[in-house]
Amino acid sequence: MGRRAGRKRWLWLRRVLSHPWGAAGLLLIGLFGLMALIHPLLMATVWNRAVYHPLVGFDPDAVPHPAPPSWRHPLGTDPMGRDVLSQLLYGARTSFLVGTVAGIITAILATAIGVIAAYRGGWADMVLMALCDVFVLMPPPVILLILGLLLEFNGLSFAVIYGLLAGLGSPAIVLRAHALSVRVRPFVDAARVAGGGSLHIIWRHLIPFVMPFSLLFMTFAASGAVLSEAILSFFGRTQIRLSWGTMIWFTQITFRWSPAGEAWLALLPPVIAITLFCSAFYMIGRAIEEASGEPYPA
Amino acid sequence: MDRAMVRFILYRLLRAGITLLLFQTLLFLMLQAMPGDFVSTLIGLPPPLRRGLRAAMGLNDPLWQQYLRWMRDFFTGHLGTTFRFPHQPVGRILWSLAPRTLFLFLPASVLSIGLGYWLGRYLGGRRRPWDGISLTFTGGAIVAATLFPPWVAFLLVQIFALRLGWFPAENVLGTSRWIGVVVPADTVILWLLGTGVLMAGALYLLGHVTRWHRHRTCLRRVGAVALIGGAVLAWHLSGGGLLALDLLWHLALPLITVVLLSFGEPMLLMRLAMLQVADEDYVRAARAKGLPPRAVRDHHIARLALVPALARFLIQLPFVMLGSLVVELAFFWKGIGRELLIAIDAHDIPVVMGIFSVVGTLMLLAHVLLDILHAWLDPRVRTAIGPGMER
Repeated sequence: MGRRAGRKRWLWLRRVLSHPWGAAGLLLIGLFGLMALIHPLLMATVWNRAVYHPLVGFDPDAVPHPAPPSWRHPLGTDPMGRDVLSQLLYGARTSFLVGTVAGIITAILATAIGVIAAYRGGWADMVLMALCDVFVLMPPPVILLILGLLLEFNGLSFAVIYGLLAGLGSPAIVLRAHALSVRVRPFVDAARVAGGGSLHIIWRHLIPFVMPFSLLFMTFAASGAVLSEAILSFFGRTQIRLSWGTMIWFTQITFRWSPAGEAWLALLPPVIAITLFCSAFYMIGRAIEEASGEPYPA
Repeated sequence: MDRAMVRFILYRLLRAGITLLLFQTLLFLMLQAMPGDFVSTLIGLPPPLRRGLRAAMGLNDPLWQQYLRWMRDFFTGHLGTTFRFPHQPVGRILWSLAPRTLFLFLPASVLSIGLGYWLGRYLGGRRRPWDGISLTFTGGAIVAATLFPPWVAFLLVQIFALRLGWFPAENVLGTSRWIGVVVPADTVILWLLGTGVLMAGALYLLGHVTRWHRHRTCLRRVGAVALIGGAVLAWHLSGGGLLALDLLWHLALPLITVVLLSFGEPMLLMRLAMLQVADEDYVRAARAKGLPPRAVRDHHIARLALVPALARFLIQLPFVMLGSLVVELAFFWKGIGRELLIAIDAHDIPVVMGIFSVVGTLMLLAHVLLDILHAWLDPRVRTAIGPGMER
């Protein structure tokens, strides 16, 4: 019986993955993961470090820089003679880190707060929800803009702070509402009568129920974090050494005085990468929403 | 209005008050933690002058005094004094910037909700949810919602301003048109906004008045044309027509950018809500009565589906605001978003606090109104107040 119930519990996940957007999103994320993994391998085997290093590489044979796409440099080089493909692959690592860390922290924090507030009720509920009400008024990207003066952001610290800010806001409130709707169901009382402790009930009954919604907020937070990182890097507000956002920023400032035609092509790789990566997470979120059959209550 | 409703509203307002107090405190602490202060950003100032400036600005006072001063300034609506210009209350700076931001933000929100509603209604009304058209549109909306905002601005400027020359690049108004004009541009913007709001109200009233008339479609069309024609004529006669046109012409590209970035969310929500409502019994009853599919879609399904879509959009509004912040920067639009960035760089804490607290208060107000509306529509919500019981 237990196994069957377990299988039923994961039915929503299968529905998400068989949804067109869910499958497409997962495929794209896998692709970007592969990109992030392949870069160190390429650097170690095929690519010469002096030429292809994403930060300090320089190709003396392909002058003048920026060079158009060629076999040596499939996406061309930037004005400092660095290979764009190598930068793009390296940037995938940063974005992957930012997206997954921010998403996971958001999901864990929001789930913990929502479930504890719903299960405990009373004062704990009131205090936690008052806290969340405040953080709803603080959109993470704008707060990060200010904190950028206070801290020197690298990819990891950016992701952690984004996750903390996002998780304390509306996700926790929504997850609490969902957890509350399970807590009042008879099977929770039955579990308690049968001798189940608080931890058991939270772990076996509340968390599995709110899981789809945690995952939903995880995808939205991941996509938001990657986009915010790119925007803040684009405006020069982070100390991240190389990400897709810094690539766009660098291209735009160096191409400002050149004919528009070249900037176009040079901007495309990082822009397409950011958009596809963010929409991959977003697609999965949408698929979860559609599989669970409701837009999450705001 | 019954007693439960009054109690609910009071409870909700109390909670909002506590939230506001906590929000202000947290904001204050966060900004105090910023390294350096305004005086330290001024280069080449002799130390005695620095000390004098700090004393005059009250930066030397103990933290609790600064905190109390800020709270007093906030709750009296004065919002403190900016550091950068002598004796300028932050409130006045925000008022002077508000028209331009609203000029971009208000039409953009209305248009993106409208477009999202209209497209979502169309997609949600289709029989099969996953044919080619639906996939194309939803995919397009997802990509549009995650596009990189500065790049969209850059692309539109490249194509429509620099290549084709249809629209101007990066400015609020064209200088040549405004030579010798005594009316400030902000006044014209405010008049334009007022015209827009009045027109929307008039069109709504027109629809409401002609509701039961036999020739309502015809009447509405004629009325709408007359109203719009009247407004255009009034602007022309007042002599500000060309100025308004110039402003609108400059508005086009930023507006398109914001709408492109933010129509996807309401569209996807509307579509999903439509699909959900379509299975309800009353919809089947309406179909069984023999109503045309279009009428069922527009008057039976879409009406109910609008509520969750609109609620979610209201919650998402800060992110639309954020999008327009980036767009303001990209188009050199002299609005509140650009001011915020400049103030952050200059450590002009009163301005940063002022902008944050005004936006935060407006958002809080939107949430409170939404909750009250929800309670008004659904009696179950009003009786269930108190911690651990609401929702």
